[in-house]
Amino acid sequence: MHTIALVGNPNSGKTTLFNAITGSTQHVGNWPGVTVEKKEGFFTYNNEKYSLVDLPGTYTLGAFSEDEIVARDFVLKGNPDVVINVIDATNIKRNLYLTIQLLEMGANVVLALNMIDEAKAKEINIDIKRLSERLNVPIVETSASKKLGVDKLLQVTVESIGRKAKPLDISYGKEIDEEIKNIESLLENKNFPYPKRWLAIKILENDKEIVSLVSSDNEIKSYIDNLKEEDKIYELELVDKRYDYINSITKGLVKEPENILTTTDKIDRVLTNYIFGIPIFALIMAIVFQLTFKIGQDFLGGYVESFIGFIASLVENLLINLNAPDLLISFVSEGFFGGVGAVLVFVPLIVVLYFFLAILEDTGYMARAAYVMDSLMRKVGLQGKSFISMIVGFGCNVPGIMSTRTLDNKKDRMIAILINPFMSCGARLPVYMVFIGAFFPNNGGLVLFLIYALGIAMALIMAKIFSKTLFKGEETHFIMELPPYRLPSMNSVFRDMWEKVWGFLKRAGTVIFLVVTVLWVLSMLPAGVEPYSKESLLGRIGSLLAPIFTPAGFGTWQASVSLFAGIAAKEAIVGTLGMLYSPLELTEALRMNFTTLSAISYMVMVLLYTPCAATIATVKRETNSTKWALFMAIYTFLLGYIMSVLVYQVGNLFI
Amino acid sequence: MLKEILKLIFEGSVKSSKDIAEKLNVDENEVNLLINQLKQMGYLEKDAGEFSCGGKCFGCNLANCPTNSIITFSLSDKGKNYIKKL
Repeated sequence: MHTIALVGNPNSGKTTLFNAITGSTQHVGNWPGVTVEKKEGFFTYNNEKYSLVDLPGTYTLGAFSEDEIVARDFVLKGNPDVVINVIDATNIKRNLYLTIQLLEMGANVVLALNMIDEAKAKEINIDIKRLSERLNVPIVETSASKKLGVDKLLQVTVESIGRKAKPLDISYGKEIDEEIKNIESLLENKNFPYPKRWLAIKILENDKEIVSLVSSDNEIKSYIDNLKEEDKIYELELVDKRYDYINSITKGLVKEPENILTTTDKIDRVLTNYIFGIPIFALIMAIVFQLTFKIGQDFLGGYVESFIGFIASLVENLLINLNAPDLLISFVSEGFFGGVGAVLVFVPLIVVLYFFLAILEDTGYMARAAYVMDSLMRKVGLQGKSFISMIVGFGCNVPGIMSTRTLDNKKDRMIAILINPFMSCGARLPVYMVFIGAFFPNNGGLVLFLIYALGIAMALIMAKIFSKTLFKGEETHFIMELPPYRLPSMNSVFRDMWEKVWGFLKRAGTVIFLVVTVLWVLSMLPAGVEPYSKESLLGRIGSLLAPIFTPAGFGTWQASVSLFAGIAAKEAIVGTLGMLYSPLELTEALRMNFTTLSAISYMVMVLLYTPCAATIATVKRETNSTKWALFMAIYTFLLGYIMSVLVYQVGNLFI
Repeated sequence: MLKEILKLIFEGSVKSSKDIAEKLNVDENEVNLLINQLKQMGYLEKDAGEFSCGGKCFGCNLANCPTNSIITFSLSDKGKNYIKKL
């Protein structure tokens, strides 16, 4: 029985064609020794039965994967009578690369120019007759999905059985051609189961499988070692020449409509514009923050706040009715609901912000943001890839810092780690929101945007300083894949958003609860002292620290204690303030204890000062150095302090 | 052209296949084809592929693993060595 092999690129319609030809006569197994699936089927033509073997889909016939080795070994050693090479007519140049390799092997090829209907719909015109002449192989137009041209393909295939195919002899240039000849003559009396010229080309391509095979011969092994020493491995040159050959073969025969801009191209012309790209990114982020504020705070925030207030009073009344001890009632109403509850009211905000950020990511815009920021990042001595860790840092600095692992240059990585905390994480959001609610209720989105922008600006400034002082070194470069724009998948947007909300809730129930409990105990001690007063243990600690912050405009013991609680976890700042000012409503209490200027100064401090303990621990783990972890904790504190003092003192000159 | 593409990436004057296509004055599809070839041959390697916090980061309040919409490729050691030899 004659055997026909089916070869083609992935997604060329090869399997559809296999199914169309063999119908229900297929059986599936594995190729010996590998996990690659072997599919074989049968068809009858003019009362004669033929075997059809569907080889794995590959782009090349190198040794980069098991699929490729299986495919080429079958073509070379399986002795198929004909190889049907399925080609995607809409992507002909890419597909012809495999064809050229088959022809170099000396395979008896029939080309199935598949998806021809799609190619015609895309106005791709192929002069099949002349292409067939130039390649010296029969070509049949098919559309496997519509079962068009299949009979003709079988006819041509059967007619091609017994055709003597001459291996394609591409000229790779004088130097390489000479080397091919040298190796061919070296292989003259050797007994390898492959064509000699093909082996010679594969040796010059440094094909691992072939080099290992022929190295069993000492003479050839030492010749290959010499080639390597003399840098005579021409992997790229050989591939380039094959593409040149494809271009020369298809020249004038494949006509595609020129420069038809896709929707993605049109959008990219605007969004990744050299001049407008960054301002557009800033505008998009400003809109996101504005929407976050309007929907998350103004619209949804009130419901959650009322709900938590309702539950709080319900639980408090229940405890009173049960004659629970005063201390327990105080802890539940002021400690738990005043502290943890103050954090929980910001859940809608987290939901809305991360909903919009997930949409930006899912549509493919975030990749463009990294693209447009790249030039700016490079100017400050960072590589654009660092922007990825910065974007991650907007969620949380811990994974933000961990994601710097993707930077292989130590200089880039250290800088990216040290500036990551300036990317304002989600945990700091409640702090800004409570202050914005108290002092800027009408310009919330703008203020929020400015805070985040200040964080990015400080990160870039510090990156420039670090790259000029602490870390000097060579730059590394990359290219970015810009996926086509697409409508966001609500499934993935909601999943992404839920992960963040759940993380926020978990932290509120664990770390924040713990911090608030410890602070509540400290605010009740020593026994008999008025709770939450300056005389309590917590009040005394706070009073000791408060003078440090007087130049920044928030030298109260409550503000000082909350900042230090924020080193445990940033949400604890709001939790602590909520508890310490309880039973007053927090925004009301803030208006009584801060001025507009000191509120700005406080927000700047929260944005820039020492990151949370988990972030510092991550710096230690990632840099493997306590010194850098301490440096991070101290330099950010000093920077935050200096900036907030500057804001307050300079602001005072104008107010 | 593969050599030229590697050189452009090494020099840092391009950020995407579109940029490369503009610099070399060729079709972007052709550049994508060659970039895929370079990836397959191991001259370019995908970044960020190895990192995943898998939601297990201690103290991470908003398990925000690296965005998978941003995929970058850099010259591998094989690619760098090749360029340095030129």
